Amino acid sequence: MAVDINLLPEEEREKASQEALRKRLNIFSVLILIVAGIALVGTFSYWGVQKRNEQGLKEKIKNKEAEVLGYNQVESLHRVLKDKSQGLIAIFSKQKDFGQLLDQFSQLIPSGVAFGDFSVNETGKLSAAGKAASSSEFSNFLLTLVDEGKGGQLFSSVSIDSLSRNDKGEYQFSLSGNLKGK
Amino acid sequence: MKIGPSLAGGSSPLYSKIFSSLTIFLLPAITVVVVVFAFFLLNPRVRDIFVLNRSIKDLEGKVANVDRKLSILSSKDSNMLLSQVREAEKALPSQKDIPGLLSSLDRLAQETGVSITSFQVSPGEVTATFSAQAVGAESLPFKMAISGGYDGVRNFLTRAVNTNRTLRIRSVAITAQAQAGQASVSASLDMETFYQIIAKIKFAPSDRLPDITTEEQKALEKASQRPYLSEISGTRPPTGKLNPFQSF
Repeated sequence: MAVDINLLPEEEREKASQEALRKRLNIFSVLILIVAGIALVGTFSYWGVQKRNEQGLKEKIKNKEAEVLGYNQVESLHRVLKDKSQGLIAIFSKQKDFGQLLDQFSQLIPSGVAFGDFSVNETGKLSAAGKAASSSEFSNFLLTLVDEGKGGQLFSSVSIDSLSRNDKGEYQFSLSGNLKGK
Repeated sequence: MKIGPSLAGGSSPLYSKIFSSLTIFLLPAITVVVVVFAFFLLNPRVRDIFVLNRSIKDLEGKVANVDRKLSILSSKDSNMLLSQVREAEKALPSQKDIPGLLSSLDRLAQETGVSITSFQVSPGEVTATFSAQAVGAESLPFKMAISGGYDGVRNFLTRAVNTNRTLRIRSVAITAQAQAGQASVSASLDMETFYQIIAKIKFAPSDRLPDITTEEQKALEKASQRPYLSEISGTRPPTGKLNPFQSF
């Protein structure tokens, strides 16, 4: 069985191990220093480049803004037009053609029925009063008014507020209801 | 009596050993100092870089916005814009324009063959002043009564909401009248007209330019296609009277 025989003296061996440790530490330190140096140079360079970029962009914006200022009047007109068009849209959406409503309402009225009063308020509440030549004329009108395919498309919640018959056999009535799509 | 080895000599193996051990850690120690120094030097710069990157991103967005704005503005014809604004101004004036309203209603009544039997406008200043609270179109309510044949009244109601000057009928009450055998009707109308003061808001060149949408373009076209009834702004009757109390 072979036995390791250390021929170097104890002191020399210690020196050699210290030297090896020094070498390793130095190499490691140098590497760290190189990395730190690269990080420093890299960071400062990148910062410098970005700073120049920022400055360049600021300059570019300044020049372009000066160009935009030349179109100041055009921009004002464009903005006025935008505001007005938005105002118009809001108004158009609220406008109601009562003439057209009268046309549609007229289509529902039989020849033996005549109206004396007709009103629609802002909330779409309808009130109408009139007379019918006979009970059949009034019934016909009433059925048309509540027919889903005819009057039902225009009005909802139609109710009779009053109904009376005079000595001539005419029926006087008043109705109320709600305008659809209001 | 000798207490320890002389510094100059350093011949003592103990001191030599300590010195030798210290020199091993000299470069690592310097490295640590340099790294710490570098950290304190880099830390604010790294923060700066983050801030710079954000700022650059914002600035790039701004450049794109200004570029876009510039290309839109340069493609616009200022004369065409001006005429569009004039058309929009007729539909939605910047002032209450009561003379224009009266003129429009008179003309409308004349063209539809009805007569205006009453007119009442809500009290208020003749000129409108801008208020920051008022956004969009403001309303000028008024009441009026008209009378005439059924067709005339019906036409008035339809044309009132289809003229260039924007009008809205809020409520209507029609009553049949029998005059000398001829059926006529009268109508009480609760109406409103609109005006929109042009806000004198200063805008920066980098402010985003709002797009005029297709819907908005259509609204402008619709308004400009409607017949214009007011004639006040064009021809004004001469003024000047010796006696202001003399009847007309």
